[in-house]
Amino acid sequence: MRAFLLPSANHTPHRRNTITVRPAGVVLTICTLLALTADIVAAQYPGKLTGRVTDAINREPVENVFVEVLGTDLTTLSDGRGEFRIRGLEPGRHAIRFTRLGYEPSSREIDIRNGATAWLAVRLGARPVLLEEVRAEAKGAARIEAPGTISITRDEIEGSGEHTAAGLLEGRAGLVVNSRGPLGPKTVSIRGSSSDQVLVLLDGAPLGNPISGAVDLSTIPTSQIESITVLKGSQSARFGPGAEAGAILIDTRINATPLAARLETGSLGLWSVSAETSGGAAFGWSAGGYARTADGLFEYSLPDELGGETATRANNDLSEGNLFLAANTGAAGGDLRLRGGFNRLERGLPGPSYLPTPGAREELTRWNGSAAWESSKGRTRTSAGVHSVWQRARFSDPSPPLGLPYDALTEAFVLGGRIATEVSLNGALESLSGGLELRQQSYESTEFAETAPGGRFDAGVFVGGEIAVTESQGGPHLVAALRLDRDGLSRLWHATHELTLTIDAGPTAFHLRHASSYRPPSFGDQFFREGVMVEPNPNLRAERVPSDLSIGGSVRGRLGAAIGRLALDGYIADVKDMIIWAPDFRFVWSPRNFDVKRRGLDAEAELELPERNLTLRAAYSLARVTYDRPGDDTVQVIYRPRHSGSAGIGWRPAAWEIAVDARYIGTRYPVPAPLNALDPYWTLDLRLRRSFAAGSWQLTPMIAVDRLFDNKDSMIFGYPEPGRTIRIELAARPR
Amino acid sequence: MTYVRLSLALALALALALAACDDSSTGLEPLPDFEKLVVVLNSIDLSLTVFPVDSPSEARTIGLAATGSPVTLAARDSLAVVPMGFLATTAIADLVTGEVWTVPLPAGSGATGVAFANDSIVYVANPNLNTVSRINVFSKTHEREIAVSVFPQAVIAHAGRVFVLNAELDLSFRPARQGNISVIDIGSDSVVANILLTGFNPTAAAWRGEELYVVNAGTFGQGDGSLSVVNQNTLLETGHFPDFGEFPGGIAFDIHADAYISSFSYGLALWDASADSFIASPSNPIVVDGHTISSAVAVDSDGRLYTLIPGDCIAPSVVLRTDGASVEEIDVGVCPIDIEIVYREIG
Repeated sequence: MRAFLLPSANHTPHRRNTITVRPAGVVLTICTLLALTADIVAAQYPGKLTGRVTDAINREPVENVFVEVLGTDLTTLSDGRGEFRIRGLEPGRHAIRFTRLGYEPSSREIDIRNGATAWLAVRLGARPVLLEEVRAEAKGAARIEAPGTISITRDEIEGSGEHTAAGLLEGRAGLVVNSRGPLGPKTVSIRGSSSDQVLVLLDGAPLGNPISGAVDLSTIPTSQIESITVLKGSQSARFGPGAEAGAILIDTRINATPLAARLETGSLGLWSVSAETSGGAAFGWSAGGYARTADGLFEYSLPDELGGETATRANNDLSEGNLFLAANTGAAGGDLRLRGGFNRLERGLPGPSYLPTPGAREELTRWNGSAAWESSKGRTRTSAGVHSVWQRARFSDPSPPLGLPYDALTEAFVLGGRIATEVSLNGALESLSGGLELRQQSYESTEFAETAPGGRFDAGVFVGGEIAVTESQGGPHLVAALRLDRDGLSRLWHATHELTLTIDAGPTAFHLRHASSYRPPSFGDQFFREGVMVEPNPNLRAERVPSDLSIGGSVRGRLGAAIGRLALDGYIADVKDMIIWAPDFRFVWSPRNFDVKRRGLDAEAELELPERNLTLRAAYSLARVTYDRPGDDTVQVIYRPRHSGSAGIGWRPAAWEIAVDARYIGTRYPVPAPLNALDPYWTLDLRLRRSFAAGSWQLTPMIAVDRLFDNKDSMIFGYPEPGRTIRIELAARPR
Repeated sequence: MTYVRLSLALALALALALAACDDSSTGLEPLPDFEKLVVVLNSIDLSLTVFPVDSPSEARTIGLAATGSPVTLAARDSLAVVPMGFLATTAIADLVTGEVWTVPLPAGSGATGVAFANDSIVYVANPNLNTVSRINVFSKTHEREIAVSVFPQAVIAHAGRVFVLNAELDLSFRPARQGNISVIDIGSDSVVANILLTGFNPTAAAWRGEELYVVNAGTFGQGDGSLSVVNQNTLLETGHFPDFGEFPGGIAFDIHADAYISSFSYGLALWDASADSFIASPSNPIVVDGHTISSAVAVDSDGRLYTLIPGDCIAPSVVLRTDGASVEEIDVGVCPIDIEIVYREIG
């Protein structure tokens, strides 16, 4: 869906035609006037080409398609939505070529008229993947995308060997995964945020524990994921409440292979199996399933404070199963995609090593479904979708080491819909868009007070527009978005905005972005049942990021035989009234509002040596997240490492794939003071994979070693890691 | 006359002997010098703030552990001992060097109260285990565990005995019945008596002569705090006084033998222990610099009052010191919860 009209991942042209830089204010004024007199405009501007590339089978967008205007030096790449844009085309007939690894190349011809925008929809047919095309990618550092964006495709997901969405996000610039053990809950922090400041959408439906507001990404298996897009920074103007630090868009499977199966075993008593299939003609369909079990037993050393003796991590088992089903077809002049999934997870919650909970269990059942329809007619594109998630989570412990036994059951149901339309225009104002989003969330929980409402109904309206400040390819480009949301509980209206200016200048690109966002308190924050050592706070206010300013740039070029890229993105995004659960001096916990200063820098670098099939990547993040206290704003918020980073090497000699990923987590403070620091640490993961033919089958065995050097440091004190673990996988599919 | 000569001779001999043993010019062994230190336990940043009584600006901070829920401390000479709550360990901090050791406690102890029995031995209450632990702070060893009554949460030592305040809380941390005190003989490490109290949830105590004044915090939200008086010789409760309001939590006697009682809900009350009556009641409390909340109280040898202000338990807070005429604000850590004044020998 393109309705939000913000700079997309990869539509940055590689080359440009001419640059004519004019004062932006003058140009905007002129362009606005000219847009009112289209005929005159058409006589003065070259034409444009916009379009979208989709998969011919499943009609999913295809990103990173190389789009060339033959006979010119105009090229670009399609973005995460499969969309591309080329400006500065001379009027006349042009031949356009589309190429991407794994797809049959395609060429089209199109007439470009004076000052007009032409639209081109292209479907690429898949080409069988050759053994030589198996790519080794270091997952620790993401492929460099547009500033503030991380895109993870299905290819990369399959190559990663990870089991959950959380694993896919580890080591990415600006992201820190808070892990409570190898099989335990995992949440994500973006740019030093708390995990409940990250909006996670599963096919458009917001996930999130209604009690904590955070999303446990360890409950989303990778077998269910088609792609992940991470948008860093305030995103409320695009996605509504909750996207304060960023949004994680998870698209579930739509494009399974015709037949594939995988079997895996490894340390911690791990066994997993998955299979998928697809087919169809008039309409395509995909289906698959996945199951995983692990006993989770491992030896570890107690903290030195408890004597440092060796103990066995018990009640750390896990079992889960997942099914997905998807279909796509044409309907009502557009494309219709239907997706559904089921996930069931049960695991022990062993608790911290200093206070084990041998009887604590978690059971999670989740159904999700969505329907998305999109149509393009002339210059107008319309999309509509509905999404729903039903989730039941049960946490219980009949014999906790402290307090009363509990058996907490929470059910959440989300039903939402969204309709948006975009009109492509001639002239400086390239497009306008707008839409409406409605969402009903219903909750029922034994953990809520009796006075808690049964749910909330929220609504949002949004408008946006794109302005090309100059007509030249790569010239200044301004994107604006405004959204108005009505909070169904507080009945307050919240306005959020986003303004992004981008400039492409040959191998370099710059961007300046200003946005705002907010997050209302979660149900748990407001209506938690008062009990032992917890009490609600009726005066709690919504969190706000009124001014999220980011500025960045990127440069790419050749260094001899190597292709290098470097991207930097700095930000200032203070949080007003950040909600923190904190104890008072009686150790009674309640949610309270605090101001937090947040500023930092994400840096990514990549070096490719195509002749040697070698890729080197590195990422570094600085996240200065401090309490905004009078006279003292230097104390880092607890468990927010100020420094983190990763480095990776991918090497593909012949049919082999070798990847090494190193990750660094800097010093963490477990208390709101520069005291009792937890030491920084490195981990190193290794993956070896080779594909070969066996009769009519293609077999791909893989061995993955996590924490190669047996490092046992943990992100959070008291949640031990097993050190080195080994997994062996065998994947098979027909040749 | 003979006695006079003999006395003179003995006195001369003693003086000579002393002079021979002493290298001071006075010929007399000097009294050791003492440094008075204030030690504040900060419960959220898990640290100690230590400063000399006479120069609070020279404060230093000692981190104790990465996690825990400490609520009390005991200090003697150069050492402070802090049970770490749900982290089953006891932190021993050297107030001079800042070095910290830990002595593991029995798993799940939930250790809270602590008291020095002598220079080397402390007793730590394990409320989740209904025991107290005997720890040697010099050898850094856990020596033994002694069974007491239900939910021991505070300890105070006196005259060869340890008095363990048993709160008798249930699993929801509410008093199931009136509290009591287990009396342990330090020599035998055995419980020699159990003193029944009238009040609920005994949480802190202080000595005044031969009488132990016990603050009963009561039931949270019920406003039923009270004060018990226990006689050291009879080992019986000799007095019980209600009306100490909502959750009183600390007690300290001043140089006039009046007792300051701290509470997070009203600040400070003042009890005349001689007349058994309030000087300042919870309904008309002592307000220091406008603060009507106190998490602990202490009085130094100069009669100055220290009251801890817990603050919002996210930002560092202060201890207020007053001599009655002026109030001094001294920076401490996050959520200060207990205070001790220790006399450290430096001579």
